[in-house]
Amino acid sequence: MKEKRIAHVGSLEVDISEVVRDPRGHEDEIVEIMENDFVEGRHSNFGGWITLLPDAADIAELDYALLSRYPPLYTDPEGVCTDCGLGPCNLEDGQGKCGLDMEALQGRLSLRKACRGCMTQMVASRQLLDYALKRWPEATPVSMGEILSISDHAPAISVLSGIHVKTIKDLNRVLTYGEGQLAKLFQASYSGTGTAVNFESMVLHAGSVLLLAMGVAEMLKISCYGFISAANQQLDGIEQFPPATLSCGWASIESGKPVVAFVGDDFLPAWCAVDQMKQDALTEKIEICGLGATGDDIVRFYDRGRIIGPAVRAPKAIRNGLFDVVVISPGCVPLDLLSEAERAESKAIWVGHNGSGDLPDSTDQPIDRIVDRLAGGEKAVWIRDPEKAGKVALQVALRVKRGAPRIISDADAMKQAKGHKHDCDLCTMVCPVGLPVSRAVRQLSGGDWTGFFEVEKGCNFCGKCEQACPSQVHLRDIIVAAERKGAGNDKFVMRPGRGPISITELLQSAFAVGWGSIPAMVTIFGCGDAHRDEIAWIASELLNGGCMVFVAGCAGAEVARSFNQAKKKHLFQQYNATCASRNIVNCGSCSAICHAVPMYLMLRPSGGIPLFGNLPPLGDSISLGGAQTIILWGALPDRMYAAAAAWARLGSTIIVGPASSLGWKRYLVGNRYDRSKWWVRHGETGKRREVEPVKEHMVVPVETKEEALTMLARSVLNVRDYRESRLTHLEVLIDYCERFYQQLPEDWWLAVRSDFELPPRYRRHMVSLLESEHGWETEGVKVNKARHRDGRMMTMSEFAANYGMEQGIYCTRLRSLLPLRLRDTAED
Amino acid sequence: MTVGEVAGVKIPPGREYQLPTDPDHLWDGLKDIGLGIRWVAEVKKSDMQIELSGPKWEYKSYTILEIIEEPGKVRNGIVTLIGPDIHEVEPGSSFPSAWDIKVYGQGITQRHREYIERQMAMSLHGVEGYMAFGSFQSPWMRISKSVAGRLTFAKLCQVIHAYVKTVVPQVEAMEFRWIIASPEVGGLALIEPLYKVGIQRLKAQELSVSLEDEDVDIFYGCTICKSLAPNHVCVITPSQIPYCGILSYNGAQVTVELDPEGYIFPMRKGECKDQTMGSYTGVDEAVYERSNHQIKHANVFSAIKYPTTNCGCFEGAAFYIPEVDGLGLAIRRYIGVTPLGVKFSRLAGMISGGSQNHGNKGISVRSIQSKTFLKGDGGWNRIVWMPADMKKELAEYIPEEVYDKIATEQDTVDPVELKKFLKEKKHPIVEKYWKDGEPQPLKVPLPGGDWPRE
Repeated sequence: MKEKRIAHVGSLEVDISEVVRDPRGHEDEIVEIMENDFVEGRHSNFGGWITLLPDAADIAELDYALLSRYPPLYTDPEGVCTDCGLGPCNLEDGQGKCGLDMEALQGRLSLRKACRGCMTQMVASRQLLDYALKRWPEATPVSMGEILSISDHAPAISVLSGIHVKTIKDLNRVLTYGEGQLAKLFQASYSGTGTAVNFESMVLHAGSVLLLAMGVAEMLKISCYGFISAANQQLDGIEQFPPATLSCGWASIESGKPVVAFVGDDFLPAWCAVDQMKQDALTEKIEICGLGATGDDIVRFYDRGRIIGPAVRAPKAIRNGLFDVVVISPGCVPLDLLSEAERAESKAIWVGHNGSGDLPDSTDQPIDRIVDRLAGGEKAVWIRDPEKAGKVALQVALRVKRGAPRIISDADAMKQAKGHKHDCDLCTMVCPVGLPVSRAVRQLSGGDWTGFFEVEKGCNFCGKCEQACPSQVHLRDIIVAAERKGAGNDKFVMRPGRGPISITELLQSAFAVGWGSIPAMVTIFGCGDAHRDEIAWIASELLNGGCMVFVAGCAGAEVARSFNQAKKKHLFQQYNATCASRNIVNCGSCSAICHAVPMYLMLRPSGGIPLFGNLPPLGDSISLGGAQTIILWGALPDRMYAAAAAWARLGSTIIVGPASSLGWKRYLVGNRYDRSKWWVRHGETGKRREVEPVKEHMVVPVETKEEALTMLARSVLNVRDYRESRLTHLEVLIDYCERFYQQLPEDWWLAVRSDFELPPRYRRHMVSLLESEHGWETEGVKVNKARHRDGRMMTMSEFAANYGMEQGIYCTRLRSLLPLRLRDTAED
Repeated sequence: MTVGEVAGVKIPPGREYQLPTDPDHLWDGLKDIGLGIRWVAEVKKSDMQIELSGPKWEYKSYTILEIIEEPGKVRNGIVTLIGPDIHEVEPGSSFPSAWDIKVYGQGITQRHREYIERQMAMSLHGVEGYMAFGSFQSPWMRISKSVAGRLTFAKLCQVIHAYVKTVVPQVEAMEFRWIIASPEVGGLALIEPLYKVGIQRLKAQELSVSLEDEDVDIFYGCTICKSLAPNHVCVITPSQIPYCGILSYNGAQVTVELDPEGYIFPMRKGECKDQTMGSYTGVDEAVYERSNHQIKHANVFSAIKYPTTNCGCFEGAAFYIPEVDGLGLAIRRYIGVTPLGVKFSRLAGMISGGSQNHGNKGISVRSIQSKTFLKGDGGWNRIVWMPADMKKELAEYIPEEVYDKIATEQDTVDPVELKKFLKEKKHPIVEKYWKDGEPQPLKVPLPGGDWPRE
């Protein structure tokens, strides 16, 4: 029998077997976590649990609580299931052979989408880890940075896994766990049975696993690959870290120098190339560019890197013909970049782990030979060794002398445009984002490029217009030419990604968030691309409105392009970059999503909630009391679908923009009219209490940028709002509704707990409406009696005890999070 | 007598404006200005249209809110502006200023002044393009060029007028006089004598409502953080404000009066069991009831023995250093190591979440200025270490004879070195608490535990 292990939690001596079902040999670590991260007051009141390396089912109580309030809503459902050899089954006629019904199939497909998204990151993280294991000993210490303590050093990893990561070996352990979980989820996404909610619970788990994989990647980037990290900086001066001085965009590339571009998720070839450039003193001689995640990563270890655009823009960028060499790795979206490179006569190096087309694997060939082949006329090679790929890229760039970029001439473009069928609108009709292509063609036939400048901005380069064109106009070439014309002005200054956030830094603003003077902590993820102007508008509005804004992924460089004419500054130059009001923090590439808006970091000191293997109290707490919202905007790959699930499980609302929502078929939406859904358990009695239908949705689509802001204002109204924060949150919602729709939101009165929480400027009017439209008893700016939703008239103290949570009382949606003395006796 | 009369200064005539006083029209005409606390922002020097007071004028300016208890003495909604308006000055101008605000309302007394001041500050901070630093005694205001065409001094007064009358409906009349002391108006020569009288009035107002713990029968409790730290109860007495520093005893009292369903509640003081420690029967009862029956006894003036519980929002913390039997202090923005060998963030994590952590107590910066600060542990005679910045900031509240004897991180963070330092500097702790030049460390019970009976 194993020795009993005791951890000292304050004055308590706790047998670790009370906390961990199966310690799996991690006893020492669990004792360390308990003694450093558990708080006695909380433990004696609530007990504690570390769900070490959990399966989805181990933490599903939280998922089911969330999904019962925010059930899945599927759009454009699939009716036929072809997942197994027994089928196909037409579920529109009833259940399939495995018992699956139509709604459950949508859940299964939703899980598949989340798994695909999670997998792209998992593979990228594994790539980084395997390379690290090759270069450094397993015992090499890792961290997100030196100034973080045990609790905040890697919450994206620890909150799910319960592991305190200290070495590369630990990272391997957690990533192996993540891979195992992903395999289980993938299996369920093809052969799982059950209800839609069962599957959606696993979708949320896929999100958590994605976050873990992102955390692993970030820790490796910082510890092994020399990425800058805000957690290696003193807090003094952090508001300007890193400085907003990085020049990016087409016009930042110094002319006359060879240009190497890196595209995709894998920055390792770029990292090796930069290392080589430094050794060979080539940094002044070669320009290094990046597209997509790699671009965002390069600028965290190389301050001369240039971000050109998001991954989805890569085909257009490559056809632009400015790159001498393009190093292509698998990315978040599948793109035929090798063909584009060939067309533009750029030399291509494919560094994927799987082959592409008929490219032979040149990994084992000597560098000189590969360089000779490319310089001698071969168009592309496949090299699986990042070091070799990096060296080859540099040498080829120095040897290849390219002519002028092959851009369609103005005369040719006009000639083609003149040849189009004048009464044809097919190109416009097939455009998935509705761009006015045919009008642009007509304008160009008269020599006017204006229309194509507009089309270019919104174009995702899918090529549907070209395929549809009966006159064979080379529309994409013309679009690239339009981009080329504007490239001379495409230069912006940005702040590279900074990595993690510390509890100490975040707590500087804890009050401002709690009291509402920071109305929301908002993170903007997404590709931007065609929608970058909207993203920039949203970011600017939020910053002007006093929010704390985070960006991660390609959205970071996209908002950076926004230029304020009056101030003559780009967006990152206008604002500081710490966790405070009117600050914008660029966390980094996609994997840095795991750092963004860590409301849970605030709950660690303020609520004593441990951050190891402890998702349910965090998700529960933030869903009831966190002013944290995510906005996803632009054409989004599946990775964002899983990322949305991750943050939803941590209690945030996810607002999905119009382009993204085209590809999404599942939302998690609440129903404010269904009163049975809006309850919490009172922390002192355990009884259920009806509450306001606030934080109305979990994953919700919007159609316009204005709607995004009003939805955001709705999303930060929460059950645990203090007086002051409820007032601010209501005020923001009303301001936006008045400004954009010239009316009050129809349901504002459902969020009223006291006249004290009505914005002073609107208070008299709102109080009079409470009386005239809702039957409350009022006098001037005061409410004397309220009418409960069940129709009863109540004094304000009765109302406070019957609707919404009383101020300053703990509450929860989960029975397991009631104080121990109430847990077994609380009624259902 | 008016401030001008007392100061013997002739104040030039100004322009008068009548603000809307009909309750349905208090906010009329303000739609073109962003209002709400989220508009709190910084106005940089390069962006400012006008600056009032501040370091350039050695803070020789004031804002005074006077509660007039006699009816008919306050001209309702009148603003008298003496000097130029916002749009009438050269961008970037800076002048001293004197702002007198009078308030009348049936039942509104000196006790309400702090609460109304807070509402005034809330309303002003939330005006687009307006920035304020400092206290009423040393104000520093800036107004941005971006609102120069839209915002006027009368509109700023209107915001306060409308806001205060809405949130404190008992207020019936408010009158404003604002002197913008451009050189034409009289500059600093006009303001300085007014300032001297004004400051005396402000101090007299403070004194008129200042209370000692002995003067009251009711303390207040705050459980706002309980929604996160379920066992936590904050105790507010005249001398002890909450750790988060957001309000005082008077503020708590008026808040309960106006908002009885809020998160602040009256707490019977009960019988005083120990004046030095700040031990009261009423406090013990209330804390027990509201801490899920977890905390049986709490001393208001001690960090070492049965301190009150800690939420997570404290501005700073006091912590026991056994090696020297003394207390250290640290505030959140200090990111170095403390003599406990941990940083503030770790310390905060260990002691928060609503536990009673003997030897550790959350503190607010303002409570450090109180006479009863850690009185139960020996007050400043027991404090041996604090961060240098914090020490400098609080210099005027630290007894002169101890000031140089308190170590900072610039002296040492090592307990052994600290012991040497205290001996060398002859810190009072050596004489009063140590025995034969050696500290006598207490055996501090674990959190939630009991001290042995003495």
